[in-house]
Amino acid sequence: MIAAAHVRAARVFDVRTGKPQPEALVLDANVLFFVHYPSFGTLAAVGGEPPSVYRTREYGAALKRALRAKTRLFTSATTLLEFAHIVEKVELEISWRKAGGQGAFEYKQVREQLAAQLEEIRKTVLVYVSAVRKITTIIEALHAEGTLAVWRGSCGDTSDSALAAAALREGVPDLLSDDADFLTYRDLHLFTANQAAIDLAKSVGRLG
Amino acid sequence: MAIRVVTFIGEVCVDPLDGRRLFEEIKALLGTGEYVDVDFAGVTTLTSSFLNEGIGRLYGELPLSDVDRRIRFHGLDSADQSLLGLVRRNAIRYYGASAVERDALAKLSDDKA
Repeated sequence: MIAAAHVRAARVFDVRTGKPQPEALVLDANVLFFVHYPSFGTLAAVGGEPPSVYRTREYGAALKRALRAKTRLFTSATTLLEFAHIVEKVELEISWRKAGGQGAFEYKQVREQLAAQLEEIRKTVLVYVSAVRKITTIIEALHAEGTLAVWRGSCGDTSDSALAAAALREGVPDLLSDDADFLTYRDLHLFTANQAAIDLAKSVGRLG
Repeated sequence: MAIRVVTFIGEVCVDPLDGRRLFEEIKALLGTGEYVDVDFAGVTTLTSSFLNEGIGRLYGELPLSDVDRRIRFHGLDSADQSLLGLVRRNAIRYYGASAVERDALAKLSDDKA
């Protein structure tokens, strides 16, 4: 967890409370993954590690509240690609483990080993991507200068920074994510069910 | 027997807990009739995590041929039909796993709940 001194987000909200309900919300790749991917059971059954149950439960409920409140949903093109990458990786891991693969999963190596299955896997991934696109508006083309400026002032990685920069440029500072790194972006409002992030925000007076 | 999902759940079908309610309802109706018609007309948003709980779980309760024969879906556009197809495939893959593998899942879920 990041240090309290690096918490720069304007406000942090516990999304489980349902309040406030923003008019517009930007969705991070982890939320898209928890809500739109159905094979966590299979992943666990073959020896992989699915996300914690609270994540699928709480972010599913948060998305339901947002959609019922007619909240406009956004994500960035970069985030959509990240989502596609995560889903592809998990589908590859399932195929690899079902074929007897054990131990640490090496994405690039397995992708090369299972190249014959990639076309089918990517067809699957694109169905999930379509489902995301039905409910979100895609913002940005990637804006390198803006992203680098936001990245420089944060503790997040370049993907997070691209999403934060796109959200701020679009004038939608409310972001739904389980990633505590978003605490380190100035001017963002982080909506999260990540208890450690919530506790940290509370400790520095930024909660709610 | 028929279920109108928009009446039973609402226009927004994204929450796995709502999916579980749909599953329970379909299961109950299957106990009283030969066929269940599940009508998604009017549903504006559908996610795989909802369908996984609502429909995918049925493949763990009934033989594959029974689910495919006795449950009929209506009101899905082509994108949602594709999504349902993946959920079906995933459920078959999951319930085709060994009991030991599924035990591993149950333990993981308990640990992380």
